[in-house]
Amino acid sequence: MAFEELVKLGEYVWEVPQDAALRMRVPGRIFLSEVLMQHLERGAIQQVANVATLPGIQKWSLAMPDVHTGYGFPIGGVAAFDVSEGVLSPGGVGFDINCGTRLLVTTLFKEEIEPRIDELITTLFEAIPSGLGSKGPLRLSEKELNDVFFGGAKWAVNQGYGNPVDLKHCESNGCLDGADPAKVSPLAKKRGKPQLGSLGSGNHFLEIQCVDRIFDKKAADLFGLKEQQVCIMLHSGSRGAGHQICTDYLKMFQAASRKYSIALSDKQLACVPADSQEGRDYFSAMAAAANYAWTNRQVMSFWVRDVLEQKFNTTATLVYDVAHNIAKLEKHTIDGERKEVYVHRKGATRAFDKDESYGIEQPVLIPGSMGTASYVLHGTKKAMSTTFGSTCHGAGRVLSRKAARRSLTWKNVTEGLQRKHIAIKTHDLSSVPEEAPEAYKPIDEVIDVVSKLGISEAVARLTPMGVIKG
Amino acid sequence: MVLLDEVELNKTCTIKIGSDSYENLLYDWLAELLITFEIGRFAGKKCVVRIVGLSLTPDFLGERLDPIRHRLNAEVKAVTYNNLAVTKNEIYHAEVTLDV
Repeated sequence: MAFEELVKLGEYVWEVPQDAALRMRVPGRIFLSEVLMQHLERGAIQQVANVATLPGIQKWSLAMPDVHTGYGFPIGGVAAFDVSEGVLSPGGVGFDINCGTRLLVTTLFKEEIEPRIDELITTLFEAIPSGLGSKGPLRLSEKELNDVFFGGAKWAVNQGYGNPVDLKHCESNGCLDGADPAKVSPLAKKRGKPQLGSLGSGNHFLEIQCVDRIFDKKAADLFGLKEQQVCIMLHSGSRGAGHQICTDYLKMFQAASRKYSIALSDKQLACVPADSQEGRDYFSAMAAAANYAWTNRQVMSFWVRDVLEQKFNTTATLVYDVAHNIAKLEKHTIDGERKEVYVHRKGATRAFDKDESYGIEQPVLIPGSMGTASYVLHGTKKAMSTTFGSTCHGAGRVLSRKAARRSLTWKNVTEGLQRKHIAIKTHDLSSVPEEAPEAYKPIDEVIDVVSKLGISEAVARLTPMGVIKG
Repeated sequence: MVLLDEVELNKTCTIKIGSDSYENLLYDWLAELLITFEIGRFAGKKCVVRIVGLSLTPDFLGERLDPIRHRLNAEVKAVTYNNLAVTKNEIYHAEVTLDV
């Protein structure tokens, strides 16, 4: 699809008109500054238009400022589907179901950690399994795995991997209702069983960060964040279990889409009516994977706390945990009417104006690329009315992994990190270029756009001190 | 995936796959190979494929994965339908995107 098709509606709002492609039921909206516009791919515009063709879509097919081409849905894509007329699409959630971000804040300050950063990152690297095919040290029975799928982070807390208050600081309290382990295939269970409590590979990471700027003191105080305070950010998901669940249902939905006479612009958009047996089965399996992911991050947090206790005689408090690959049943006001919809967020973060965790707007966690800043923000009313309560999820790729490996070397990238006094640990140095800042859009620009759009507001900026790259 | 230099051909793993189109046959085959690697812990190096109609009987040659001796490169997490295409002229041409 050509760039000329886009119509500028406002400083940061671009429309893909409803007549830009066949069968579009609603227009598309892409949120970009002029700087970010330079990184927009034709493929991503086409994917925004393709999503707009799906039955039951409400208002717009949306793309956040970190948008880039994905499989089926674009990364950064948000779409809401009517609960009875709409569809559920595994491609609208992604392979890594409930890939998400978690932030823990320590009682330590930058000057205390700086001289011991290598020791801390090395101990964390030894404590938390990471890298290609990494496996967790937990040995779960079949029943325990089913309990994880059903109960989410609560299972981990009940087993002693955390505090009950942690659950209050997780999106959906770390458990999506409606999970049914019986809808998860034996293969998905086999892939997920040995991996609980592991970071994984690719763009998954653990980062030691320091709060370097506070933008909203009231919210920062409530979230427990002070300038120079040291935090730990985790980015991981549902590992092989989520990937297999997505694979299983994508395959099943190829035939099911035909059965329900749903015309697809892209096989990866395979979907079924949400209100069908296949739709209910997928939602139950997806919720199980989401719960696995919350458990995974909860278990890794326990090991982070264990290391902090052993090395610094202190602990860490969970600030928040967000999902950025998920479909959720939510109520939104659409054309003046309260409606139940399935909101698909694929590489997008929920940004609600109200949340029980702190009694104010919902905390939002946005990681930058390796070696750049990350942000804590909060949701807004504007997000509720313009993006179904959603914002970006990260910086967003500009180079494919292959292109990054071709144009950058791990030596140059690690030297760049060293110049910024950022320690790095990884089992796979050759993959380091894939996550280099040059492979991503500038995070500060992405945050500037979501702030100026008013779909989330910055609370604090965090800069990296050490990174474990999965 | 495993770097092939260190993989020896001392074991054969045979998978039989049938599907309703060449594209789905390719998808199902690659998805099986992923499972064979991740759950079956089989490091494959060479594949001899027989295609009859819409069924595929590949002999996958390699050995049991040895985490000490075998070096892993990129981790393939899933096979996708993204731009999936198979065409047959004198030989088969396939296009597939893997999620890594």
